[in-house]
Amino acid sequence: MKTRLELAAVTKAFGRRLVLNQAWLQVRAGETVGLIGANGAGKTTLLRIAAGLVLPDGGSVRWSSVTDKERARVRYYGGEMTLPPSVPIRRWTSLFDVALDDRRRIGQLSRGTRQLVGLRVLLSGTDADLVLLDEPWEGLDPEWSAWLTGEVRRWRAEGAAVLISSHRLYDLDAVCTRYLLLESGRCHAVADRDLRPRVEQLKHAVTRRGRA
Amino acid sequence: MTQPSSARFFATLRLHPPSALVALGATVGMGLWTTSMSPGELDSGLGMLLFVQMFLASSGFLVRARRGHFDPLLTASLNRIRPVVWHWIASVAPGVAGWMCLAGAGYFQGSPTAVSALVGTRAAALFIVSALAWTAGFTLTRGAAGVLWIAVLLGLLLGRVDLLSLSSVLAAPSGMGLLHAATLVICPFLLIGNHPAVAPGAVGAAALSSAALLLLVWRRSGGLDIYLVDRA
Repeated sequence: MKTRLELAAVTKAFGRRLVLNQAWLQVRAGETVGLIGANGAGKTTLLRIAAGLVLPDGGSVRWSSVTDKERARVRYYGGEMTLPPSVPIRRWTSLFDVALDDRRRIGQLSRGTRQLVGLRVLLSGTDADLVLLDEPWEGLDPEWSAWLTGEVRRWRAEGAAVLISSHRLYDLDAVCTRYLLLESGRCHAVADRDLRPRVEQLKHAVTRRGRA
Repeated sequence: MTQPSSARFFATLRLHPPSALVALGATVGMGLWTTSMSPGELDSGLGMLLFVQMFLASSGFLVRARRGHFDPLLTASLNRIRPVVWHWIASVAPGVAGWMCLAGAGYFQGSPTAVSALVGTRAAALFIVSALAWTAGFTLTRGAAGVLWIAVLLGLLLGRVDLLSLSSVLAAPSGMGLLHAATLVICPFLLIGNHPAVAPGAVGAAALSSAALLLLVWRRSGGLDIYLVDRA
């Protein structure tokens, strides 16, 4: 399958803090990659570099589209906090030709409903080569979590490359074809069967850091 | 999901708070009323509008971008310049529309300063404010550049009023065109009202330096990191 996103030796620092240190990552068409890691590991930074929003200090980012003649069509969702609170829902969704008949402002909604509005806009249609989702299950109830799982599967079946950052391992389990653990600024491949033990290790590491 | 154009995106996003638009509407209304009473009083409406434009144009790009509000637009293409240019257009458009409304009304009522408001030195004042307030407010929160600008003007009025006096600036020795231009950049209000005539070169230099700053910010926007802040 064709590579849709490739990060090669990407390095990123904010001030003196090195967030990504020679991180390598590839996402191919028709696969869903789960990105896991402790809070502050750099998952959001990595996703925003993959979306072209944050510029790496070193290394390279390469996207490829179906046609190879243009930049890959990238869809990125950074979570409900990224939606403009003062805009009415109907106005916002109609901007992307998605029909949601609700006149309330986005800021008046509950966190879960905001999350749902953002996801429904982002995941509508099929015209994308690469889908990047940052903590997409946060705030969703079980019914809508199942809907999201179905949508991610649909995108993968349509041939899109999907990269998801999440702490929700059971939800990731339902959609991912492989996993990457972001630790010390680098991506480590995690075999499916090793996921649970690795996450347990991660939990211990975070707990130890918290106590220190 | 269809990708909206930058123009439609910023029109939907509402860069200005309703209170600012109400202030603009009231200013235009008052200006139209004064002009209809006395066409020679067009400048009072234009002066008030210039003041409002200081705040409208200072709409703040980076703060909202780093809250993720522009993500759908900025991820659609690696070219940042187009969204940034459209952000400027959307920021200044309401003020420019109000200005055109006043100048047009003045023109049809035979105001002697209407032509200058449309294509002359008064129009240059509007451009200087529209460019500099947006540029200065690029990394700040909404309206902050307007507040800072007013603070600078008040500071000069209290401490160095001579710097804001066009008469004294014009009395300076020849070859001081840059000083004239700098004065106009700091206080574009000097281009409105019955002040001594300013050399076209100084007005041009002030407008060009404002345009240069605007272009600089547009060009440098490509190298900005749009990381997320204020995440709960």
